[in-house]
Amino acid sequence: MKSRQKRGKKQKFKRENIADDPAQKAVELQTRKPGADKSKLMQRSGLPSRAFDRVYDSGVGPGCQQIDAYRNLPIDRYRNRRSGRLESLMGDWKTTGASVGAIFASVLTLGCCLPLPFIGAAGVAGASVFFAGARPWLLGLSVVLLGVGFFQVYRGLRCRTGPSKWAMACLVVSTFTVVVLLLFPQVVAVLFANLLGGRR
Amino acid sequence: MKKRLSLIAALFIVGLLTLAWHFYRGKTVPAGQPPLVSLTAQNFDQLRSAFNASVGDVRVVLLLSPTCPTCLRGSAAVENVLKQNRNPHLRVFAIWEAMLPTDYASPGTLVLGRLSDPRVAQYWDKNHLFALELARKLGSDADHPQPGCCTRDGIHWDEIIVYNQDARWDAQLPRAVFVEGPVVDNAPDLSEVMARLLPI
Repeated sequence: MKSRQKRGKKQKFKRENIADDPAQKAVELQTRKPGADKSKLMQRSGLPSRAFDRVYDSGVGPGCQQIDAYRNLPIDRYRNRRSGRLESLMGDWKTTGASVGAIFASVLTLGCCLPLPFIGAAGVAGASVFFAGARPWLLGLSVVLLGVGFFQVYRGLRCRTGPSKWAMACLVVSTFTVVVLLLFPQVVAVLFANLLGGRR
Repeated sequence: MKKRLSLIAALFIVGLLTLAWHFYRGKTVPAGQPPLVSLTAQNFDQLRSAFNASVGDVRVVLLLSPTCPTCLRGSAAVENVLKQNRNPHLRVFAIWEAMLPTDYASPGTLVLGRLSDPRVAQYWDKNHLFALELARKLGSDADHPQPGCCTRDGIHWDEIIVYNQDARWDAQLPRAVFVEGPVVDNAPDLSEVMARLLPI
């Protein structure tokens, strides 16, 4: 009985916290009904006018609201919220994942010729034949993954939120890797040959 | 953010231009070698003439891909074999083939420079004319030594083919004394065959 009461109190406490959370309010603002009264919304939000304007005007497309709500809030302590970080990380994860995937796919295009350790570890029979045949597809995949990475960054910019330095660095490195591999395959092949012990 | 992105883009473009200059500045063969010949059905007889002009010499034909790191390691291994055997009665025909999707350009200076011995003549065989000729010979001559490796879609690549002093290319390729691939793994065998045919 006591434990139920305690749990009830805890839940009530949590609900109160959410109701007071400016970030949550900002999300509500972003998902407002069309034609809602701005002054009433501002009154209800309890945010200072400048902060309210920033949040009110920020989201311009679907999927932007939550990211903007956490990132554009002028209140420092909400910027550093764990959930806010998680949200931004989720956004960056897609960019970083696409970038790393692009690098991985482009390096696999050389798999026909490189004794890549994981191929040996996986014990894939005829892996070299497979990778030689799949080279055009792998090149295409790396370009598509780059496109996904750039779309993530573009979406972030539309929502007025910049990607993290890590995600941008990954994207730049993967773009460089894929472009160099596509435009200068002989340079990459010579580099790999030298690294593998075929130095003249 | 915009400034930073512009800076990254500028660095990226400068990097690409530097690579482009390095890669496309020429298709120069090392000193002492005849210029690179692009083989077509019209000028294929040039290769036949060059082959027959060196009757009395041992002839080594190398089938390589310019963007395959293993092939490039093979070219470096052959270069080392040539350094060990300085006999002038030796001719090497390095035939670069378009085997991989990244082989869209003829070999550049960087790739051609990996075989720097003046006894080498280098060719770009986009249409696999020599490999098809070899396949025809291997198919029609049951006593011809057969390579343990390497074909892709019936096209021979990454192989060493050795012809003795008497071999003459008339209607068909002559019978080779040694055919094996991949080049990098068979360089020691090439060294042995050459030592047998051409005392140092």
